[in-house]
Amino acid sequence: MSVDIGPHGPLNPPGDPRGVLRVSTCGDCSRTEFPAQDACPACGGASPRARLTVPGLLTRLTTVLFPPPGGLVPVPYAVGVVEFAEGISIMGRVIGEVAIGDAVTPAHAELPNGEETYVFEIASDRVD
Amino acid sequence: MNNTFIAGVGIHPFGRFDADYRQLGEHAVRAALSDAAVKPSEIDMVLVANVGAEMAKGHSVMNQIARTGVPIINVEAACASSGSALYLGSQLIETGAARIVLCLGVEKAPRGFIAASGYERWQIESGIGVNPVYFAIQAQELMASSGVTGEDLADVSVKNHRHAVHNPNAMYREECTREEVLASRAVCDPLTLLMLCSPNEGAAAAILMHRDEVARRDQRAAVRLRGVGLVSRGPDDWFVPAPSFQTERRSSITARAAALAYEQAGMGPSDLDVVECQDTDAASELIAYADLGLCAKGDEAHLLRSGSTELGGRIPVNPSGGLLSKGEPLGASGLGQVHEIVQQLRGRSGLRQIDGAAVGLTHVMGAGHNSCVMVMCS
Repeated sequence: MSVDIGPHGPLNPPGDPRGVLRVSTCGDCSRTEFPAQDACPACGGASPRARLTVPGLLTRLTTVLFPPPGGLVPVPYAVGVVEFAEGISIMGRVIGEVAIGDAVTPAHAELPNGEETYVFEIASDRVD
Repeated sequence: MNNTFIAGVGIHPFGRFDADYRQLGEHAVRAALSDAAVKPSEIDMVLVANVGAEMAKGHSVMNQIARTGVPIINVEAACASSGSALYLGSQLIETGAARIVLCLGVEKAPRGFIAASGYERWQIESGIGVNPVYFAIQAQELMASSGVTGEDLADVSVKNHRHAVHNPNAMYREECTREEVLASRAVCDPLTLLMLCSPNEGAAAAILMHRDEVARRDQRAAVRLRGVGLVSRGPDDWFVPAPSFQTERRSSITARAAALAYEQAGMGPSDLDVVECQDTDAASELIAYADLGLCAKGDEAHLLRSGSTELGGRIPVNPSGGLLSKGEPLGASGLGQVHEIVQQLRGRSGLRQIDGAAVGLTHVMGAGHNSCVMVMCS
């Protein structure tokens, strides 16, 4: 059972039809995992890559005010939990004017060191 | 559990010190040996819980005390390191593989946020590998699913700091008010600085002893270990460092560990007289109330506001002041709880003594998804 992180975190390349976040869904029990795992951590079933239904619902939102060790994002910044239709809730940095209950969608973003990451932002008509 | 007793405990105060971790550990071990009237040469096995020190740390501590040649094993499971060492020790005693086991927890944690909690590099760099974010999310979930308010979170801190006034082993021994807690620096909404514990330094030790040995030595102050539940991550648990969880299927490692400990002890929450629980932050204590069965889910605020969990209440929680007041020397925190409960059950807790305390519970949980719950009685 390996966790599929990929070269730039648990992301699909820009333009990938499976969306921004690299997730898997178990063929046996339908459980969705992020980051993607080859074998389901609950039942062991084969878990091919899947597409997450977007947008998701922002259910939790807090602010990081002190720079954490190793973090590259300047404080303060927002971190939230987003609930998706596949039954999974995913943590991530949240950008823009958002509030709990908003529809948000994952988007590619760049860290100050040039590495790719993801953020959640207000859902729009944008297609990744 | 039928055979395992705690014959002695020792502690080095929790705080910030010039001493090396070896000295902190040595202090706690010598105190425990003295308390149990056990010589180093009588120990069958040494289990040392620590998260952040060098390799072979237990060996370095014991080198300062005695070189007896028995196995020394270092144990690491984040905040549940002490609990894991005690679990292993109790299994050895129960099965007769050892008669006397020394368990030591020792830590000299750096200041500030705890780093290296098992996050992937992408989580750390993108700013979501931050322990207080997890505590804040849990606190928000608790507030959304119960009547718990920001004032209640502050009151947990007020309660535990009030308890610590009489604990010479605690780092912070001054009372604080609800207003001071709420006005302290915001860390991650809704948590403020005084609602979070500080990683720090300290050590605590316990001598586990087989029932026959306790009888032979006429150890009347020995406390009986009745149940130990130790669990790690299941498919539906969520804590540091997991970046996602199953929305509708969240399980509790604490509740699972508690169920195992209660079953082994043949006891339940209503039998308890005193609890030491993992109050890494104020919300964590309230979440533990329901997970440990002290109240139903949703009734956490009611239990707190009733005063039941204060010293003098029906079921005092964290009479030592908890981690909020003692600080959290990761590898030592669980044995620090054991020290408190053992002394309470012996009636040796001075001004914070709970009258007639006969059954106590300890609870740790933390990064990597580990929880250990222990039930002990006089």
